[in-house]
Amino acid sequence: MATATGELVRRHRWTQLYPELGQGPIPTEPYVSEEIYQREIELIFKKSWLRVARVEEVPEPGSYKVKRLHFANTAIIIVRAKDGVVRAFHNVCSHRGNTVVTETGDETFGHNKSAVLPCRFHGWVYGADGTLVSVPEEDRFYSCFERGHNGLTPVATDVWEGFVFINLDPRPLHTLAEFLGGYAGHFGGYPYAALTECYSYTTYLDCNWKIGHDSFSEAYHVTTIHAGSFPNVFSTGLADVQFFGPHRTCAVCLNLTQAPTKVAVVAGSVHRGSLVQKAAERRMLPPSINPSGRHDFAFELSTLFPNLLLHVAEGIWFTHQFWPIARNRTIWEGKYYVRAAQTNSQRWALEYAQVLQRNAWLEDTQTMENTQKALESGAKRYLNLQDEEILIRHNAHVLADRLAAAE
Amino acid sequence: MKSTTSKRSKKAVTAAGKSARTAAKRLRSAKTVASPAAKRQAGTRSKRIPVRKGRALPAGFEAIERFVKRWALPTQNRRQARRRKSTTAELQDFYDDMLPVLPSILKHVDTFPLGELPQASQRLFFLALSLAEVAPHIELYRGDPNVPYAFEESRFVAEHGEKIG
Repeated sequence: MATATGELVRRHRWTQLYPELGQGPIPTEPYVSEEIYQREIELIFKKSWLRVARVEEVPEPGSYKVKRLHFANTAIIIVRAKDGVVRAFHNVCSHRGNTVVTETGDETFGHNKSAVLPCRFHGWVYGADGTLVSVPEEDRFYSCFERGHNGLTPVATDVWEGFVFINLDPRPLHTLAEFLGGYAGHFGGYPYAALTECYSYTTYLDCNWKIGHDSFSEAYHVTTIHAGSFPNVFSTGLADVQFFGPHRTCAVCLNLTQAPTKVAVVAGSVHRGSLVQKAAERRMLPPSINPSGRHDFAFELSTLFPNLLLHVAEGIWFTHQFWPIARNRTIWEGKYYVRAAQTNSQRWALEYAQVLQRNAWLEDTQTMENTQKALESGAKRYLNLQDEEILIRHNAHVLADRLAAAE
Repeated sequence: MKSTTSKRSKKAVTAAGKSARTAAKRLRSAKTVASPAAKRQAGTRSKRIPVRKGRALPAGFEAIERFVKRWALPTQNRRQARRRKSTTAELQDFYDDMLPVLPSILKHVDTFPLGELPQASQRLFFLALSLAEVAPHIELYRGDPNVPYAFEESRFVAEHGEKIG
C-alpha cells in the first residue's frame, strides 16, 4: 500500500510514487476514435464486472429490475428468486425471441408475487432461477424441443456489499472477488445499506464515456467549475492515492475557508447531507479510508473499473456511472445516498443539501459535451495532465494496456 | 428512473392536471371578465372561505401567506420550474421574507411526525422547501434564476422529481 502523508511542496508527488505512469501528455484519439470505442466495448465492457443494481432495488423474491445495456444491444433482468439469490438473465424469450419483461425505458422495475417471469407473447413462464417452468400447448412442439434446455440465458452475477454486478462474458476470466482485489478490502465495511435515502439523476450526454468519467476524477476543477455553488471550497490536494489493479482511489481534501451561507447554517444544524459541510466525528468510515485522520478530508473518490465512480464520506455516499451508447453518446447516472430523515426539519435540510449537490452536478456536466465537440475538431492530439490528475492518467494507461494486451 | 411506466403515467397525470388547471383558470378569468357581479359574489363570505382555506398558514405565519399561491408547491420538479420562471426580484422578495421565519417554520413542522403534517402546516413546509430551492440563487448565484455556467437543467431527470414533499 502506497500512501503519502506529510506532503508539503512535493509538486510531482504522485507520478514520483507511480513512475510507471510517466509524466507525458495522453492522446486524444481514444475520445474520438470509432475503432477504439468498439474495442473498448468488446474487450472491456463485455468482459468486466459491471455494477447494475443495489440489492435494495430487488428486495423480495419475485422483485426484478430490467436494465438495458445499449453497448451490448441487450437488456438484463436482475431478479431475486425464492431462495433469496439474485440472478441475472438476458431479457429474451426462448420461444421466438420476444422480450420476456416488456421494457418501458432504460430501467424497468417490477414484482411478481409467484416469483416467475411470464412472457406476454405466448405465455411461456420462467422461474426466477431462469428455468422454463411452463409452455402452453407444450405437446404441440416436436420431440426435438426440450423444456429443460430452454431456460433464460444466464448472465454471470455476483454481489459485493449490496452492489449487484454482472459480467456479460459467458465465461468470465475472473470471479468478482478476484476482479475487485484490494478494492473490496478498501471499501468494504462502509454502511452502504444504512443510508437509505437515494436521490437519483440521469441524463444522456453527447460525449464519449471517458470525458464524463474524467471530469469527475479530479478535484483540480473545484475552484473554477464550482465557483458558483461552492465558492468557499478549495481543494487542498489529493491524499492517499492508491491503485488496485485497474481500480483506483484517493481522498479529496477540501478547505472550507469561508463561513457557510445563512440557509446552509440552518440546514447544517439539523442534518448531515452536504459534502461541503464540516463532518461530525468519525463514525462510519472504515479504517482504510483517511487513515491519517486528516481534518480536511471531504470524501474518498474512486473508480471501480471501468465505469463506476464510488465515493464515500461521513454520512454520505454517492456514485456516478457512465454507460456508453456510442462513441460520442453516453448515459450518466448520479446517485446520492444519505441517512433518511427522521423529522420534518431533517427532511427540509436534506432538500437543501441535495438541491445544492444537484446544482454542483449541473456545473460538472456543463463541460462534457463542449469538450467532445472541441476534441472532434482534431485540433489537439494530446491532453496535458498535472500531478493532481493522476487518476485520469491511470485510467488512460489501464485502458491502453488492456487494448494492447488483447492484440 | 423507477419504472418508466409510472413516470409516463405520472407525466400524463401531470399533463391532465395542468390542462384541468388551465381550463379552470380560463373559466375563472372568463367569469371575472364577463360579470362584475360574479366577481363581487366571489368576494362574499360563503364563496371566500374555501379560497381562504386553500391559502391559510398556521397562526403566526400570516406575513408569508402572500407566497402560498406561487411557492407552496408539492414536488421538487415544480419548485425548480417555478424558480427558473421567476425574476431575480421575485426570488429576492421570497428569500427576504422567508429567511427570518425559517427557524420557526422548522420548529413548527417538528411538532408533527415526519410526513404527517396537517394541511396548513404542509403548505408552510412546501414554502420552506421552495426556500431550499431558491436560497442558492440569492446566496450564491447573485440572483440568477438559473444555475450559472451549468448544463441544461431540464435534461437532468430526477427519479424523485415528482415525489410529494
